[in-house]
Amino acid sequence: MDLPMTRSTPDPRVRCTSPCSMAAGLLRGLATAWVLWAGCHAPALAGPVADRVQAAATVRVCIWPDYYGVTYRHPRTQALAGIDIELSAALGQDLKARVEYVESSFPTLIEDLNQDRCDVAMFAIGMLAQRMEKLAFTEPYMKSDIYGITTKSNTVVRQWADIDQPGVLVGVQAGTFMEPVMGERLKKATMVTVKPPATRERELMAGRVDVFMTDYPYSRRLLDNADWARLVEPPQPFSVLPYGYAVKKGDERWLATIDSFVARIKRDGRLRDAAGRNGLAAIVVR
Amino acid sequence: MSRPKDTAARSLLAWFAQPSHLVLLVGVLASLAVWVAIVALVFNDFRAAMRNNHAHAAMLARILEDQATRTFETAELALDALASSPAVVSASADPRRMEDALKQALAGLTFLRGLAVVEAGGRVVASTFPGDAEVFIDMARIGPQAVPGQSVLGGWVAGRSLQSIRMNGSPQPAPPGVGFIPVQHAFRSEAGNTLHLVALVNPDALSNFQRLTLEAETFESVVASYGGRSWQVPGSRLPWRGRLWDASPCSRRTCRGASTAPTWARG
Repeated sequence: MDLPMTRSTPDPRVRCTSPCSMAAGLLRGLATAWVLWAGCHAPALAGPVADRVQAAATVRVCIWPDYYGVTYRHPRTQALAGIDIELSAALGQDLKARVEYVESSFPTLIEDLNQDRCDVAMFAIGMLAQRMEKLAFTEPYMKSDIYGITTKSNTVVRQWADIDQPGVLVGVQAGTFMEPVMGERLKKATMVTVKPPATRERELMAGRVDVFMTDYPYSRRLLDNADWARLVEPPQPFSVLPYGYAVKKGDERWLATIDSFVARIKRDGRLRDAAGRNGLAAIVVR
Repeated sequence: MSRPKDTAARSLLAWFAQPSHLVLLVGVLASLAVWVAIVALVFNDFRAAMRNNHAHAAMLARILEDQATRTFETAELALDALASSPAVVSASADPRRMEDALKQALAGLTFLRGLAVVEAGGRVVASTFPGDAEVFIDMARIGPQAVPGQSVLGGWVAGRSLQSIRMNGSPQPAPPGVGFIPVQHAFRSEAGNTLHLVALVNPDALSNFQRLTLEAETFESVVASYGGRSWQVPGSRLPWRGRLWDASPCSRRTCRGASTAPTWARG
């Protein structure tokens, strides 16, 4: 499907039609110069990303390659797999553009998009208020609650109620939406922010945290791949967050392009199929 | 006098001479033989099953022993390497440099709760746990005092960090069941002081592996020191507490590859 990616250009022709004095004319001249300058620069805010993607026939997609089920690089084969690897390929097909993956992460996501290191971030990004202030988001395509992961032999955390207890260390990955949510919700337990090169799994195995909080995609994949892991589910919804794709603010045409892609994959079943193949059918937003 | 006997013998012979009686006798003998064969087979199968069970338990014990041995040997190796690191051993080494070196080493060791450098008197010089530094700990709680160049394994200690065995002040609270097994390595710094590197092994790393290995089995396992003391790992299916035997059942030489601790699996 070919998508129009044009930009609106304001008419730069400005004409003075009333009689004016010299000073007023000078002021008007300055004002005209400003309007012309602004007119020249306004299109840059209207669709530079869309233009660049169209011109280069390449769409640069930010991914976090450690995101099981979403955008995961297999450590041995180095092959990328996950729902957003499939859907980014579908986006490339729709735009008739080559997909180029750019490694990103939740802590660097905002900077990566705003510094034009990538055109769109496609790795199930939680639509947090803090992120929505700085990035533009598509309509949500998935949603997830927060889950706990601990080891099978762990005696400290057996159920959800054991998490927020004195002396319990709760791990969260730096930059993920669990960080602000758990920071706010934990009253008795201590939150431990895990930053690379440390990983939540290693911190848990080493006993440096008793449980770590994650979302549905990561928890399901972990349960599939790590036989030591045990899921701790909240008895009722704890903090459900919608997931969308993020783009840099200020390019409405590009946002509309990605948004229409989300609407299409919901409509034509590509989202449902990709989610089913990656075990995420339960959290798809239809 | 012999007449009744002859009569009885003759009647017995006559009874046997009847084909139906002969068939009955043969049938009884045959069924007896079958029962004897069945009992022998069952006994043989039972013995074979017991032998297989023992062999399987021994194999599982070797797997668990290997994991436990590797865990503690890796800890010893890491401490040995740290003890020769300039950041730790040099006369000008400051606690911040030591802490950086400890944190760097800790990143790759996924079975350690933490690492610390402790003076012989018990003062914590540097630690990967925030707040541990400058705390005085009870050295007796981390095992027998090691001499420079020697590694010593301690017993299970309740708590999450060395603050749980601090001498002054209240120990850091930790949920019940949280503990560590200290491994200490003594070394002499370039300034001539004897320092102890302490690794806090997470027992959950051992029990989790044991649980996974024995998950589909009917066996139970325990990791024990050579002195026969079991390391009670809370949450695991360990049936024993305290001392398992009075004398060591095996020496370093006879216990296959187990330089630290023999591991037992019981069906």
